[in-house]
Amino acid sequence: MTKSNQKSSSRLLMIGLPETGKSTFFVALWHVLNSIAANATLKITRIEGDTGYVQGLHDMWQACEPLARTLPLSQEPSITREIILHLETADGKSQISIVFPDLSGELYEQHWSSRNWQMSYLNLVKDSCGLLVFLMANQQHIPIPITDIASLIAGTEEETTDEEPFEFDPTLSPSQVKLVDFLQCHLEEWTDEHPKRVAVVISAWDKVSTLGQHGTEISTPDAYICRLAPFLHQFLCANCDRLIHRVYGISAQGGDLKIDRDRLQKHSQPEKRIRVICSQETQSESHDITLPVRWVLGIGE
Amino acid sequence: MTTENNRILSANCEQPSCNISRDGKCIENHETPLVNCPFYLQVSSPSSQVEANTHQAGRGLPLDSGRDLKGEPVHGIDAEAILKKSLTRLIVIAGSPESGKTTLVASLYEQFQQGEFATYMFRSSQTLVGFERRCQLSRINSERTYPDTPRTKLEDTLRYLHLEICKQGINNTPTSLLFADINGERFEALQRYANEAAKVIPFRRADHFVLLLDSEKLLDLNRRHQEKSKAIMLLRRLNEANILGKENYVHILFSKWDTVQSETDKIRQEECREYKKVVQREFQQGFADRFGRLEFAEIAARPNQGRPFGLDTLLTYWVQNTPYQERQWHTPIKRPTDLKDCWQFFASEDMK
Repeated sequence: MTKSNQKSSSRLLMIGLPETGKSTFFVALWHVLNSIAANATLKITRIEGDTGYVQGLHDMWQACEPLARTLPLSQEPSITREIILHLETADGKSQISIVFPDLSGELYEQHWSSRNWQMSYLNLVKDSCGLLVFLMANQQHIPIPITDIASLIAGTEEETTDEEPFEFDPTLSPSQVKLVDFLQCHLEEWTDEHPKRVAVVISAWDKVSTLGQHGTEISTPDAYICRLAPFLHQFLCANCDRLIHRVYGISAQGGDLKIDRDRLQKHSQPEKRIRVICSQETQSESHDITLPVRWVLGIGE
Repeated sequence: MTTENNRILSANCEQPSCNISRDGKCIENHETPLVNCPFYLQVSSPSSQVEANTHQAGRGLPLDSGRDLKGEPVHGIDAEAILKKSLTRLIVIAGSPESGKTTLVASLYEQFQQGEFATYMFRSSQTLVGFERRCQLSRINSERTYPDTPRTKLEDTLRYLHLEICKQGINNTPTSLLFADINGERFEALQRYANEAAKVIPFRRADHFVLLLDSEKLLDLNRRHQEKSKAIMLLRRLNEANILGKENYVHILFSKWDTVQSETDKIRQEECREYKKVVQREFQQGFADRFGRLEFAEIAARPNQGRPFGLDTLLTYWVQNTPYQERQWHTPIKRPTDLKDCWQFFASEDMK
């Protein structure tokens, strides 16, 4: 890892479509960074954004309550979507900003649909040294062709639907395509020679054990991306000259709150609920939710 | 007129590649008044800046718009930039309306949604939105019962779909594929106006010229002769007008071949197979020595049942083969990257 990511001021962007676990990750990270018991190697110096909203989320997370979904700006304009955590390393030598440009994820849907970045976002990207990209474990990332179910619907077709004029709906595009688009656009703005680091975070990793179909087992985050988001996987591998990636499976809640709440509430240290899985880390499984952040920033290398 | 010139020369355009403010020419070929161009911004006075902002806002864009993102099929200038920057195969796909041209390209892109295809990985695309637009009607979330592909619009300027692929391994050179996105009706006009069309469509720069014959029509005794003769006539016109020749690889594809395979009337099926052999023989007799290569293949880009076939072989062939590897010139040839001038380039080469 070059020292360029350990300069005195680094900025990391966290991006992802709606309902991909950004808020839950953020609040769990915030808890760890604020917690003396967690003994984090990073500490918060300042937070920009709606701290009341953050505190509310934190209270819910600590109590093992489902976090209220971060509503889009159009539905709740009073809440600031952008959150910035200003951090410092334990030795005080490096300052880091972790920017969540939009916790709701609506901004990224808008980027995909409108094909435009605001100047403010463009400046964020130009100044950033890496990315955390979020996707949700139990979402469908691969498009399903109609021909795959043709035999099931044969004989049940209605006449009217197929006659309607076509209007392209960009929201229907697969999430893996949108993520590749985000990464392509960000790569185009990163013009220095050093490959950037991108951490892919699969949220709600606790749900992955139920995803195995036809006897196939998905045991690692890399296997998940390869099998269930293959378009994204190819992009990450084929562009290894321009970006370095790692895939993390993270359960920021620690389990299914409907089934496991009692067990999860018994942890005297809530940060011990968190599960972080990554084949390329020294410990393939840990509770340290700062791992992807520290890897992208090259801290501790 | 002077006032109009001043207005044109002080005009601006949201498209960075448009030179309207320098030479007064709109890249979208709109003539005055330029307000018909959706990208036109008049900025000759402070009040015009307000108009520009209003125009921008009217398109749903925020007023501090920082960067337009690529995604739709690219124009010639952007296609030229791709040609200059990377190893590229330019593929022109021709065929009668609804013969499957767009479905072929869309289906190739769709294969990469499932994983690596034909041992290649997807690396990038400057036209992701263009591909998505062409694939949406074939997916279940379109809520349709039959897959379909939107008709390619007849536009003033030619556009290209872009796909960049590579093999595994950091040392493997990526290859860009540029597909000329041509409306079927434009090809109908090619037979009458081949010379004029050649100035718009970069045939002679094409690594592969692909001609689709619709197998559904070949199955139909009432339509098969017309389908064959139109294709032969087009190829003859392009060759006789010196638009396609030894510097091109030509690929004749029998599209929708699954309809032949699944034909329940076995006599009709066998008739079609025999007719295909006749068609192939006619093409070979007429053109085998006129092009760099003449190949044939049966494909089904989106069969009614089962997986597509023929696409993996096609993709591998397109990537690994180009007429430029075989051209023998007494001086090293510089491959034309300027698509507008490739006509002049080849005309001058023929004079040597």
